[in-house]
Amino acid sequence: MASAELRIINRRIKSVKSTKKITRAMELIASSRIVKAQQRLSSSNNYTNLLAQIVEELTGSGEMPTSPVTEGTKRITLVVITSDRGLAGAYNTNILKLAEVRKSEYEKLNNKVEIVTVGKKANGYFKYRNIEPKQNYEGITDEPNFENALQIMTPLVEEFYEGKTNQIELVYTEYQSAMTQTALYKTVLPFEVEQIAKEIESAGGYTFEPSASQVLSNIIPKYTNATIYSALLNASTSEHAARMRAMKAATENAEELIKILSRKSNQARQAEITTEISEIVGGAEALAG
Amino acid sequence: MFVEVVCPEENCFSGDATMVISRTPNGEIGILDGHEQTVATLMPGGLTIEHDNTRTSFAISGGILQITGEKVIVLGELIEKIDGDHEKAIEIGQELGKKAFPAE
Repeated sequence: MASAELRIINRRIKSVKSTKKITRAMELIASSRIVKAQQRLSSSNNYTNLLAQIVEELTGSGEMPTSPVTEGTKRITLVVITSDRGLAGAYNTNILKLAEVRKSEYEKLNNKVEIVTVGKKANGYFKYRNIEPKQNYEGITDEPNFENALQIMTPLVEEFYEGKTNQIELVYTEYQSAMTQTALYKTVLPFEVEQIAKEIESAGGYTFEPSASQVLSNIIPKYTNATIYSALLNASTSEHAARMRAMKAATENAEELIKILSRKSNQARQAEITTEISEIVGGAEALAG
Repeated sequence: MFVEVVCPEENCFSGDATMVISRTPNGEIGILDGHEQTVATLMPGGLTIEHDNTRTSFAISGGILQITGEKVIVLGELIEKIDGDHEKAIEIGQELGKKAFPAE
C-alpha cells in the first residue's frame, strides 16, 4: 500500500514541476513583451499628446467638447477590447464586467447597444450569451499596429457619418504601471466639429490652410484613430502585465506545492521503509522462534 | 528652426532644419525660418526636410502641420522614410494615402 501512495505522490510532483516550467516560461515571455509594448505605448502617447495639444491650442480649452446627451433612442456601438488568450488573471473578467455594466446602463435608457469585439475572449463571452457581435477582430491584441486601428475604426466612422450609429464608445484596460491596470470606457465620437471651428476662428493667432473648419475636420478623424490605437496599445500592454503577474503567482504556487508534496513523499518513503523493516524483523523472529 | 515629425508608431525625425517642403490642399509649400504661425492640412505625398546641407525625404499619408514660432511639428498617420528624392516620396506617399483612407 505504502509504495502505491509514494508512486502517486511522485507522479504529482512530476506533473506540478512540468506545469511550473510552463508558467515560468510564460512569465518570461510576457515580461519581455511588456518592454516592447511599453515603448510603443510611449511613442503613441507622444503623437496623441501633440495632436491633443494642437486641438487644445486651437480651441483654447483643455478638453475636446463632446455632444450633449440627446433624448430618445440612440444606437450605441461598444468596442470591447480583450485578449485572444486566457491565463492572464482577472484581465478579461474585469473588462467584460465593465462592458456588461455599460451595456445595461445604456439599455435602461432605451438605447440600442451593438457590440464590436476585439479579441477571442470578448467574442466568446457575448456569443455564449446569444449576443452576436457586429464585428469581431482577432489576432491583433498581441502586437497591435496602426493599420489595425484603421481597420477597426474606418467602418465605424463611416457608420457614424451615415447615421447608423450615434455614439462610439471604447471599453478597454488602461495601463498605469506594471502593478496597476484599470478597466475603463471612453467615448470616441461624437465631437461637435462646428462648434469647435467657430471657437478656432475667434481664437486668432494662427493662419489656416485651407480653412479652420477643414483643418479641424481633418484633425478629428486622426484624433479618433489615435484614440483607438492608444486604446489597443494600452490593452495589449495591460494584457502582458496581467499575464506576467498571473504566471508569477502560478510559478510561486507551484513551488509551494512541490515543497509540500516532497515532504509528503519523504514521509511515505519513510513509512514504506519502516514497514519493510518491521516485516523483516517479524519474519526473522518467527523463524528463530 | 526645430522640426519634429511624429507618427503613432514612432518618432520619425527631430532636429534642427533649414527648410521643410510639403503639400497642402492649396499647393506646395516650403517653410523657412520665421514663418508665420500656421496650422495646415497636408495632402498625401512627400515631406522633405533640409538639414545639415542634406535632404531627408519621407512619404506621408497626409497629416497636420503646425508652425509655432521656432518649432514645426508634422503629425502623420503613416510615415515612411524614403531613400530617394522628393518626387519618389510623393509617389509612395500617395499610395500610403490610399491605405489610410480607402474610401477616398
